[in-house]
Amino acid sequence: MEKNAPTPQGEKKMKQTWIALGLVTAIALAAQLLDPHEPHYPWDFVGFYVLFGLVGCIVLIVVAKTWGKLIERPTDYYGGDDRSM
Amino acid sequence: MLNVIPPAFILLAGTLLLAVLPQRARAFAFPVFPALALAQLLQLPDGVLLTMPYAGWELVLLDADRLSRVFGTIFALIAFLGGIYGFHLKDRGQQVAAMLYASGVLGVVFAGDWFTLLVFWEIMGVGSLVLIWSRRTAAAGGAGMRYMLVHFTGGSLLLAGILGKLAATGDLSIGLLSVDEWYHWLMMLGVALNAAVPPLHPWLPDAYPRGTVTGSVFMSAFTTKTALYVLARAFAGWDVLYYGGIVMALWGVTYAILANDIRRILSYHIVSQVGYMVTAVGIGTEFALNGATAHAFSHILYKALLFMGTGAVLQATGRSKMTELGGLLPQLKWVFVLYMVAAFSISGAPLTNGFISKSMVIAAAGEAHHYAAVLLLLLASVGTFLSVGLKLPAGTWFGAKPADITVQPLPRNMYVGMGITAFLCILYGVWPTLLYNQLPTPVDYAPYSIAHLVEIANILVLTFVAYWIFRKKLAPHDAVALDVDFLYRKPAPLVRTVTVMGTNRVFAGFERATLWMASALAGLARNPAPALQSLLIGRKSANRREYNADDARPRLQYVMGLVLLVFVLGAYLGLR
Repeated sequence: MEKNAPTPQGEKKMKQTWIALGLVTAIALAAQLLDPHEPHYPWDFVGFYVLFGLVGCIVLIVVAKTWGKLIERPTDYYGGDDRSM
Repeated sequence: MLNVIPPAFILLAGTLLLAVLPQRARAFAFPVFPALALAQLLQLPDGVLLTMPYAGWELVLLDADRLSRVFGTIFALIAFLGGIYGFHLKDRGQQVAAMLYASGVLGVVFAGDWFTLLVFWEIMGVGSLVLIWSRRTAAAGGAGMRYMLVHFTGGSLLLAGILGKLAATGDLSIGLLSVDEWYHWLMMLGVALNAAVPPLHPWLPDAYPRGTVTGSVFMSAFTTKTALYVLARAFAGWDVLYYGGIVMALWGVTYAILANDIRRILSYHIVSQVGYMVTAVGIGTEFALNGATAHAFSHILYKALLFMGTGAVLQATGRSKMTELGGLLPQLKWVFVLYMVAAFSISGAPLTNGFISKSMVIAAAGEAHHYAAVLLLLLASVGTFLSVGLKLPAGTWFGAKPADITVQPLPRNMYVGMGITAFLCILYGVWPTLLYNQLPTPVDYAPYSIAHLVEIANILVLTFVAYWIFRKKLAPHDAVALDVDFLYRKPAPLVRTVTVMGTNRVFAGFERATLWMASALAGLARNPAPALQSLLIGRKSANRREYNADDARPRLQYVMGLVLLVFVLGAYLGLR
């Protein structure tokens, strides 16, 4: 959420987070490259899940948001039942 | 002797006792009964242990095997943990209802015939309904009413199927059912409704966000997973479940992205997660059924913890919509930490119980060469981490804090309940054999392989990347996302007008007519004069309130004239 402006500490933390996540991905890819296992699935090549995670997530967001445009209604659509939880 | 007591009866005894105990004692008594039931069911040997003759049938009240024991274990365990989480509760109705609900669950799990199962099935429905209504809001009232109607329909389908089976075979025993008989399909539909298989699912995201803080913890654990247990026992290998499960997994994920209420996000992720289990049941191999069971076990723990965490937010702030939440990290730091344990579990992160069970389901799909299922279930995992692991905590604990929000301190027992549940999520994650040893058939599966670790690490990191890119697009907003319940919620006013109001109007019309006739007759009997007058001298004058002599005079003139004429004529003729 970007409800508030990023602070210098926040930016530094974010940078550290990106470095950590990059390291995790690099280690995972190296491990996949060196792992001598039999291929399980037809898509068993190095880096497949990097692609799958990114593309899959974007597809889900786009599909859900497009679907949302079609089916979202104001909160009083069912006679005000949804305004209060 | 101990072997013939059904665990459900222990909880039923607890239900009765809670109904009469004073407030202080109830909180202590609540966790005792699930603990006793757990101790009881763990030592049950395999086989039929208690039967009862009823109307010519031998009902099987207690029938234990490995499958029922592992499901019974987790249900009793979560009832115990829910009791600790809800230790502060003073509402007798909720406590009694939750215990009744739990007894229904254990009754279903250890039922040996369909009739016994159905009785406990309906008990579950009643208990859970009270947990929704106990919230005492208008929205909860409406959602509870819909919940009741939908579950009565489901129960009726199940009953109709059972009666069809009984008529055709005379057999009530629970076992694997074939897809060839129509009555088996009715039974399947009744059970699938409770498992929230689309299009029979919308009662779940409708009702669960509206339940009480503690009530929704129980509901998140009980109803769908009890149905899953019945599916695993009677409908394993049904293709329709395989496809239905995949639809569930993705349907729930899609709607969760659109949801604003934090407990509705989690509700849609119950649909999604149970989808994995239903798919596994549809595959129906031994490995897949083990996977479904293991995932149900894990899911109950982390999903209860998720509902505990979001329930704690609701308890502390009185709010559950992300558009009205934010920046709670300083006040609710430990709730966040414990919530994240569950969020990583549901996302299948290593060292959590989601990792060791979800992967079994996916591996079982791969082993059966259902590659499309493997990829689609992995895609659902991506969506799970996106909503439950990133969007929900970002909207609740991070960002700007609304100015008008106040945070009440939480009862300590809530933290204890969450803490134990989080501990168990991690315990089973780092020590999977603890769970695998309890599964129905022997397990030969090692979750911690390099391939699997690489897979999940890549997926989680890249989901975060995609989230970060689209985080503004994903910002929550308040709206109703129409689900299938649109089909019965929107025409409801019309149906109401036709059936309820229309019937009312017809009856009211007849009632008015009857009353009018009665009052007219009564008036006539009391004073027939006006009616007779109106007959004799015209309606217009008779309806006058006061009698006016002049009104009659003109007509009387003719009468008198006639009489006089007759006299004159008579006199004239007589004299002649």
